[in-house]
Order: sequence, then structure tokens, then C-alpha cells
Amino acid sequence: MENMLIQGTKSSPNVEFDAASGKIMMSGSSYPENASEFYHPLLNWIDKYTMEVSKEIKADFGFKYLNSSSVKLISEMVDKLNKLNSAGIPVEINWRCVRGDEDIFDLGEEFKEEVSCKFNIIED
Amino acid sequence: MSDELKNSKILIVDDTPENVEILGEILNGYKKQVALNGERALKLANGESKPDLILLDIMMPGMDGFEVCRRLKENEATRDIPVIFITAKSEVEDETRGLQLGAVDFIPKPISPPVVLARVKNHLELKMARQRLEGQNVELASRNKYITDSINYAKRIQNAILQSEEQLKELLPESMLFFSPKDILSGDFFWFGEVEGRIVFAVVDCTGHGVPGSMMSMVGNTLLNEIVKILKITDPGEILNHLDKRVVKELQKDINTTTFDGMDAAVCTYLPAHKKLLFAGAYRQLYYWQGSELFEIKGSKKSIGDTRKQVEYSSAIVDLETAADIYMFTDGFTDQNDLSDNKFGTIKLKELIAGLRKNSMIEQKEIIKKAFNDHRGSETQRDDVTLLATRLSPEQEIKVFSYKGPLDESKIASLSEELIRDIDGAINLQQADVISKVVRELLKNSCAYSEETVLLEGREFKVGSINVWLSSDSLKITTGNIIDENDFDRINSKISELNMLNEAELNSLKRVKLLTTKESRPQQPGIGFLEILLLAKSQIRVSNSQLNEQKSYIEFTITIETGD
Repeated sequence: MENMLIQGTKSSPNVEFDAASGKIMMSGSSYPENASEFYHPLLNWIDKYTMEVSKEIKADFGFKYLNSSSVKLISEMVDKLNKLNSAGIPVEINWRCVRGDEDIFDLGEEFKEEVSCKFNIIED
Repeated sequence: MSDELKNSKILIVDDTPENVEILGEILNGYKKQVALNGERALKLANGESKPDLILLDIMMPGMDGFEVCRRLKENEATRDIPVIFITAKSEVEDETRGLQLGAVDFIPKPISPPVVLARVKNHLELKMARQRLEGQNVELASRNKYITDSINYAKRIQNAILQSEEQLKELLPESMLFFSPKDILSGDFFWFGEVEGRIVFAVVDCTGHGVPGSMMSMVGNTLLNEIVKILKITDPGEILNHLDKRVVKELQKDINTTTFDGMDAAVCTYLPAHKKLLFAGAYRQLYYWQGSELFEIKGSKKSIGDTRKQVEYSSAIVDLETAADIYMFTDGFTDQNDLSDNKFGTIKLKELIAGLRKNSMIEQKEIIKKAFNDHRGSETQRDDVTLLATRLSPEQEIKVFSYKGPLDESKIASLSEELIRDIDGAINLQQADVISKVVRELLKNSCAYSEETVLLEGREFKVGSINVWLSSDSLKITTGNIIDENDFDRINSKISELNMLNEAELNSLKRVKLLTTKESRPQQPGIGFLEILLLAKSQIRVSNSQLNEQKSYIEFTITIETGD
């Protein structure tokens, strides 16, 4: 299975999804003109990974800014990961935010409340 | 050779017929024109069917090739035809001069056929490519103009539908609105309205910006009108619950959509008569300053239209026994990045607001706008930005009703009913009865004395006006009309007399009046005012402004206590 690597830009996050290690990483700002177009391949990658690899997943999200459509798609991704965890594929999510960034922190708290998988909020 | 190339026409300019012949043979397959001197060459180049390329000899009797080239480049009609010099001279100086004059190339004599063919082909293709680009540029410019014109027109419609800051100030005098869309059209919008003495105001951020955002904002605006103005729902939590259901119903008919379009919203309802503010938010918070502290009420963590979450919105209550400054905003404000990609952030916004306690709302707007623009610097704006602030104080008077126009018996009755309906939430039954009677008496007076008339469907109507303000403990009613100077003097002195009397004196005067008023006599001016004074238990204030020697504009103001 192929890895998913997307170089970050000013308005789209850096993406490193590694199939061999099950590490998926996203960082940077996310406000692409068409968020759904950007995120759907990522969501599909996770589906494919589930089918073909179905090993433990370690996610690392470190966003600086998410616009509202990106928030919705990231929440879809977290949702998906959480379902995998419930289905027996262990998932651990690290949610990173800059100290003092209430919005990203609050979003992390909100996800943490909703999921049953391991979810760590890391302020740095 | 492509058809496009084959159809190209080459003008050969040379004073030696043999040279012309040789070139003609080399360029077999192209269309050709020939000129044996400079004048003829210029004539052909300026003709109906222009050449696509010119092969130009330099040494010619009369006008030489340089001069021909200079004239071709000077004329707009022939400027773009590529010129290749063909000459025996091959000194660098000549080449430089030729290129400076605008020639694209040089072919030295003796002529090598493959070189001529290759260079001609290259320059023809370059010319065709340039023409295609120019065509596409024109096409792009015209499409861009079409789209921009269309969007600008849509902007006019959006502006016409959305209300203005001035209209907001009519409802909430100490207010300000910072509204800055990212693109021409906005996905953010603000909404406000008054229903039964309750003032509802909202700041809404629809998913997306620009054209898609603006379409959502129109849906949101329409739904808010319906929910608040027609269904008369004024509780912010209930407004959001209705909005959520309607957005889902209207926009998510396609059950296969995985992501949803929706909106984040902050909604407040101000109840001046009860000194309360209600708030509910969908992913939006409220900041307010009261006393010496900045408070925050967080909104529910569910966007309007998000079907994956089952959350009922509910209202928080802010007590307004003392004045408060209220701030609502969309995340475009706090999410704006600076040059080093740092967001404005909520912390900085709170600090900014904290420093604004002593500033008027007009000043606050300038300061907030400047802080935002300073942070943004030369960065592009990330999202639509809306920030609405208002200062609410218990003493504040809010205009809740206004009418100016024709009056007759039935209009007066319907106006008084309308007013009572509009302020229903702020008064009890008994007060409603008093207000209704006072308004009728005041307007009947306007109707009787107004010197201004208007013709409607062949009937003449008197014109009068009424304005009503509500504060936490009273209702102020002002009626006005143009009046004859003599009538004004009479009425003014009558009211001054009546204002001096206490309740018992007014009652006894009323009995006397009733006994002496014969049915046949027209009603005396004054019986209405006497009635008003008895009902309202407060004085009538009269003010006038003289319009000319005969006429004045008169205003009667009466304040009625409300509340419990």
C-alpha cells in the first residue's frame, strides 16, 4: 500500500501517512479553497489502510489553524479513527496545540470527550 | 506543414527580381506577395489582407529596408507583423540597427534554403502562438469581466437584503458593526429585528465564503426572518433549534452527502423591560463586560445543520441591572494570521476589549478595526469577518414603534393594536389598556388638528406621526403633526392648565365637562387630554417648532410607567 505524502502550503496542511508504520501525521494550517476535495483522499486512504493493513494507528495532529469546513472534515477523520478503535484496531491520537491557542485546544477537548480511543492533548 | 502554416502569407520585399524568384521557390508551399520597392511593401502591408511575415531586403533604391521597417513598426496596424531582414550586409552594426528597429531576425546572403525555411517557420509559429495567447487573454479578460460584473451585481442584492449598521443603531443606539467580507460576496451575515419589545440580534458565519457562502447566508437570513418575525420566536436557544431543523430540511435533502453545509451563529435577545439579555450560540461565544470583569459564555459545540450531533440549544441569561458591553463575532476575526502566520487569537481579542471600557462604540469600532488590520498587515484576509458590539444599559430607551402617514378612525385603531402587539412582552394587560387608550386619544387629536393632508384613492387624509420608545421601566409615546399657530396656542395653554391639576381635580373637571357637553356640539379639544392625564398618571409635554407665521410642528410626549 502506498504512503500518502502531501507537502504543506500556506493554506493546506502537511500530510504524512505511512502505511508500514501506521503513523499518520498532519500539521500546519488548513483552509484550502475546497476542503472536501483535499480531505477525501485522506479519508479514503484510512479506509484502504483498514482493509489492507489493519494494524495499529498512531495519529499526530498539530494544527495552527483550521477553517470551519476543515474542522468538519477533521472531525469526520477523528470519528473514523475512533470507530476503527472500537472495531479492534488500536488507535492513539496526539492532538498538539500551541499554548494559549484556545480554539485548537477547545477543539481537542471536544474530540477527547467524544472518542473512546486514546486521545492526548499536548500543549507546546 | 500544418494548414495554419500553409495558409500563412509571406511578403517578399526585394528590388532584384531574381532574388524574389529564388526566395519564392524556397518558400514553396506558402502563400506569397511580392514588392519590388519600399513604398509598394508598405502599401501591401497596410492592405486588406495583411502578410503574416515580411522578408525585407535592406539595400533598395529609394526607401531602404530600415526605413520600411521603421514605418511598419510605427503604424499600429502593421506593428505586429514579424520582419526578417535578408541582406548581403552582415556587419554587426547593421544587425543591431535592424533589431533595434523591431526586426525579429536576420538572414544573411548568400541564402541557405534550409536556414530560410527554418527561420520563417519558427517566426510564423511564434506569431501564431502569440496571436492565440492574445486571443485567450481577450477571452479571459472578457470572461473575468462577465463573472466579476455578475458577482458585483449579486453583491448589490446581498447588500439590499442584509440590513445596515444605521438600521442596527435605530434599534440599539450604542452599537457598532465591523463587517469585512474576504471576497466581494460574504458568507458572514448579521441579522436583527424587534418583536414585541424584544430585540433579537445575531451574527452568523456560513460555511464557505464568496459565492457559495453568500448563497448560504441568504438562506440563513430568510430563515431568521421567518423564525423571528413570522413565528415570533424570540428565545435564542429556540431560534437556533428552529434554524437547525430548517437548515437540515432545506439543504440536506441529499442523504448521501457525507459532509454538511451549515452555519455557526451567535444569537442574543435583549429584553429592555426585564433588564435581561438572553444568549445562545452554535460554535460561537459571547463576551461581555460588566462591572469590572470580562465574562464569556461559550456556545454549544454543534454547528447549525450538523446532523451527526444531537444537541438542543438553550439560552443563557445575563442580568442587566448594570450596564454591559456585548461582543459577538465570527471566527474570521480571531483566526486572521499575521505575516509570521500567528493567529489574532481569542486571548488578544479579550485583551483588546478589556481596554475599551471607556470608549464610545464609535471609537471602539475604529480601535478594533485598526487592531485587526495592523495584525493582518499585508497578509490576505483568511475568512469573512464580522464583529458586532453593543452597549446595553438599564436606562437606555429603545425605539420600538414608528409611523408617519395618513390617519383616520380605522388606521388609528389598527396602529394602537399593532403597537400593543409589538410591545406585548414588556407590559401587562392593564398597562396595555392604558397605552392603547392614550395612543388613540393622541392620534385622534393629530387627526383633528393636522394641517398636512394626503390624497389616497380620491379621499383626503390628515397626516400625523407616532414614535414609541421602551426602557426598562417606562414607555415614551410621542405623536406629532403640523398645526395652525392659533390652535397651537390654545392647545398649549389648555395642556399647561391641565398639567397643574391633581387626580381629584381632573376627575371633577371631567364630570363637569361631561355634564355640559351636549351631543350636538362637537367635542371640545381638551376632553381627550384630560382623559390621557387621568389614564397615564403623568404630565403631557408639549414641544413645537415653528415652520412659518401660520404653522408649527407640534409634538406631544407622554411617559407611562411599565413593569410590575
